[in-house]
Amino acid sequence: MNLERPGIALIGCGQIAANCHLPGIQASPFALRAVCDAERERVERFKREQNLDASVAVCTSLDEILKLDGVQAVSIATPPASHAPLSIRALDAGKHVLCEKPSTLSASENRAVCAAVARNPGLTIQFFSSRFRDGAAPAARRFVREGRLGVPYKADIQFWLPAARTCDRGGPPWFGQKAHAGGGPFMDMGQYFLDRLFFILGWPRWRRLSAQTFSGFPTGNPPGVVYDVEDHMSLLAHFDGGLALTLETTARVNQHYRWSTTVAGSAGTLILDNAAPRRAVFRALKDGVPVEEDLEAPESAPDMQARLERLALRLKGERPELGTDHEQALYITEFCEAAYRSAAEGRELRAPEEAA
Amino acid sequence: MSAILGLGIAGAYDAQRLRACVEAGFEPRALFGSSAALAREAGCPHAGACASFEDLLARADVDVVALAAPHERQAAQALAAGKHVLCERPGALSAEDCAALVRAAHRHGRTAAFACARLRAGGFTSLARQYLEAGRLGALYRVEAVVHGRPQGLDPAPDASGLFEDFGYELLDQVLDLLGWPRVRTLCAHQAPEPPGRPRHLSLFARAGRGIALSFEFASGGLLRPRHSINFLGDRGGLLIDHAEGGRGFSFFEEAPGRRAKLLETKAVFKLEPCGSILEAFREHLAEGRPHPGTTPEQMLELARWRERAAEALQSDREVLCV
Ligand SMILES: NC(=O)c1ccc[n+]([C@@H]2O[C@H](COP(=O)([O-])OP(=O)(O)OC[C@H]3O[C@@H](n4cnc5c(N)ncnc54)[C@H](O)[C@@H]3O)[C@@H](O)[C@H]2O)c1
Repeated sequence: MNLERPGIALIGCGQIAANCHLPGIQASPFALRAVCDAERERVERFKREQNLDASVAVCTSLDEILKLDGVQAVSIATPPASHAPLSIRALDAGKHVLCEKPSTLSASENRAVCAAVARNPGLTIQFFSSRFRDGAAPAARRFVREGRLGVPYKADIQFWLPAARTCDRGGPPWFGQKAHAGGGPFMDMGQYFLDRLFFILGWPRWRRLSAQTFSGFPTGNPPGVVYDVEDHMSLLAHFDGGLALTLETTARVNQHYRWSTTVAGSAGTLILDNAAPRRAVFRALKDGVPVEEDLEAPESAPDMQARLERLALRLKGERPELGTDHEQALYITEFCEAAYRSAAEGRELRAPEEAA
Repeated sequence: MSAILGLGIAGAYDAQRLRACVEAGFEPRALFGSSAALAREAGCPHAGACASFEDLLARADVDVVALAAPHERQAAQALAAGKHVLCERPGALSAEDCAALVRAAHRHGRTAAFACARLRAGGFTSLARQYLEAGRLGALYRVEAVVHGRPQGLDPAPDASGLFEDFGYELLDQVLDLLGWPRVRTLCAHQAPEPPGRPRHLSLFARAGRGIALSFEFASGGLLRPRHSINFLGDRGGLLIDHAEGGRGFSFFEEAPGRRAKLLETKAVFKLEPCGSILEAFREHLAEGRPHPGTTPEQMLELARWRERAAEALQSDREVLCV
C-alpha cells in the first residue's frame, strides 16, 4: 500500500459529492481511484463535468469498486437508506469508511455497523455528523473541561429555517421520505447539533425524553410523491448530572430564523451558532456584570479534507481524533429513534439501560 | 350594587398598594393587619382598623375583601360572608384549596380574582388574542414561552418560594388564557439542581389538547441572555410576542405555501400596563358587569394544578399523565 498516496473511491455522485466530497478528496493526501453511482448516466456525467482524470474508474456498484486495486477507503455520499449496507460491505471488504450523516436509518442498522467494525479490527469508520465539531467546538469543549461553565444544567438546540424544505425547492424527493431519509430536519440537521453538543459535553448519558412532532404543511411535490417526514420536532430530554436539553428543529415554520446551541452552566453560558461553526461566545460574570467573549475558532481545512488528512495519518499508525465513530453514531441514532417513538406514542421514553 | 365599592383589607399592605386600590376606584373602609396611620398616609382617612378578621367581615360597608397574602381559610370565610375576594398573591394555594374556593364562590354567588393576570393586560396580549380568535394561525401545533431573567415591568416577589410564585403563574396565565385553558395530557419537568447561589431554571414540556406541544422555560438569574418571548405556531400563520428589551415586539407571519412566510405585522413597542388596571378591571367587573379580568377561581385552580403536576414530575423523575 502506498502510504503517501492511498486510494479512495467516491460512492454517490449527487449534490454533496460535488460540493464537498470531491473537493475534499482532491485537497487531501488520497488519490481518487473510482467514482460510483447506482445510475450510470449520473456517474458518467459527474466524471465529465468534474473533469476527472481518465484513470478514475467509473462504477455503478460497490462490488465493481471492490474488484479494483489500490483502494484503501470509500467515501459514501448516497441517501441514508444505503449508508449501513454500503458501510458494512466496505468494512468487510477491508476498506476504511467515511460516510455521510445521518449515519443510518435505525439503531439496529447502527448496531450492525458496530458489529462490522468489531469483526474488522484496524479499520475505521467516521460519519459526517461531526461537521460542526470544527470551528469553535474544540474551544467550547475545553471550557467545559476546565470547569469554566461550572455545572452545565441546561442545553438548548434551535434550528429553524422558515422555508428550506427540499420538497419545496425541486430537490430529490428522498429527503421527504422516511424509508429513505429516516426522518425530516431532525434527522437531517438535528444530528449535527446533537453530535456537537455531545462532543462538547463529553457524551453525557440521556435518561429519558419526551418529544412531539408536527407535519401538515402542503408540499410542492407533484401528486403521488410521498412526503412523510416531520416538519417540526420539539423535545425535552433529561441527562445524567441534572442536565436537560430542549431542542427544536424545523425547515418549515411561520417564524423568524433561529440557529443557536446554548449550554447554560452555573458559572457561565456557551452560545454557539448553528450556521457558522466558527462563531461562538462565552457569557460569564466579570466584576458582577455579564460579559460575552468570543471563543477562539482557528481557521481549519474543510471537514472532508481534514478527516482524510487524519485518516492518512491513521494509516501510518498515528491516532489522531477522527469524525463521529460507530459508537457515537449509534448513540445519536438511539436518541433520535427514541424521540420519534416518543412523538409517535405521545409519551416519555427512557433510555434502554434506564428502562432495563 | 353601588358604583363605589367598599374595600376591606387584610394582611400587611403598604401605602403604595393602598393607593393603587384607591386609584382603581375602591374605597378602603376597614383594615385588619395594617395600621390606620398607614391608611391616612395613603390618603384614605375613613379606613378604620379592625380588631379581628371576623370584625372586618361583619362590616356591611365592605363589599370586597382584599387579601395581601394567600389565605385559603380567609378567602373562604369572606366568600361565605357574602364578600367578593381579591387575592393579591396566590402564593402556595393548593389545587384542593382552589377547588374549595371555586365551590364557595358558586355557593355564595360571589367571585374572586387572583392577581396573576397582569401580563394579560399588556397590549400585545390583546393583539395576539385577536389573531388567535380570528383563526389566522390555523391549527396550532406548538406554543413556547420563555422567560430568562424577569419579565419587564413585573416587580420581584420578595416572598416567592419558587418560580411559580415569582412570575411563573403570570406567564402561565398569559399563555393559557390566550389558548382558552387547554387540557393537558402529559407534563415533563426539569429543574436545575439548586445548591445555594445556583440560578433557578425550570423547564416544562406538555402535550396539550388539540395536538399542541406546549413548553415553558422559567429562569430567574443565571447567565442566559435575557428573553421574554412567546411563540405560537400554526399551519396558517405564526405569532411572536417578544417582550424583552430591544426585542422584536409583536410579529405575525402569514403562511405562504412553498415560500417563506410573509411578515405581515410588527409592532415594536411594548409597555406593561400598571398594576392598577387589574384592580380597576375587577372593580368594573363587580360594579358594571364587565368581563372578569382574571384570574378567576377556576383558572387559579388550573394554575395550581400545573404547579402540582410539575412538582410531581420533578419529584417522581418521570413524565406525569394528567387525566
Ligand atoms: N445536499 C446537501 O447539501 C447535503 C449536505 C450535507 C450532507 N448531505 C448528505 O449527503 C447524502 C447525499 O445527499 P445528496 O444531497 O448528495 O443526495 P443526492 O440525491 O443529490 O445524491 C445521491 C446520489 O446517490 C446515488 N445513489 C443512491 N443510492 C446509491 C447506491 N446504493 N449506490 C450508489 N449510488 C447511489 C443517487 O443516484 C444520487 O446520484 C445524504 O445522506 C445527505 O443527508 C447532503
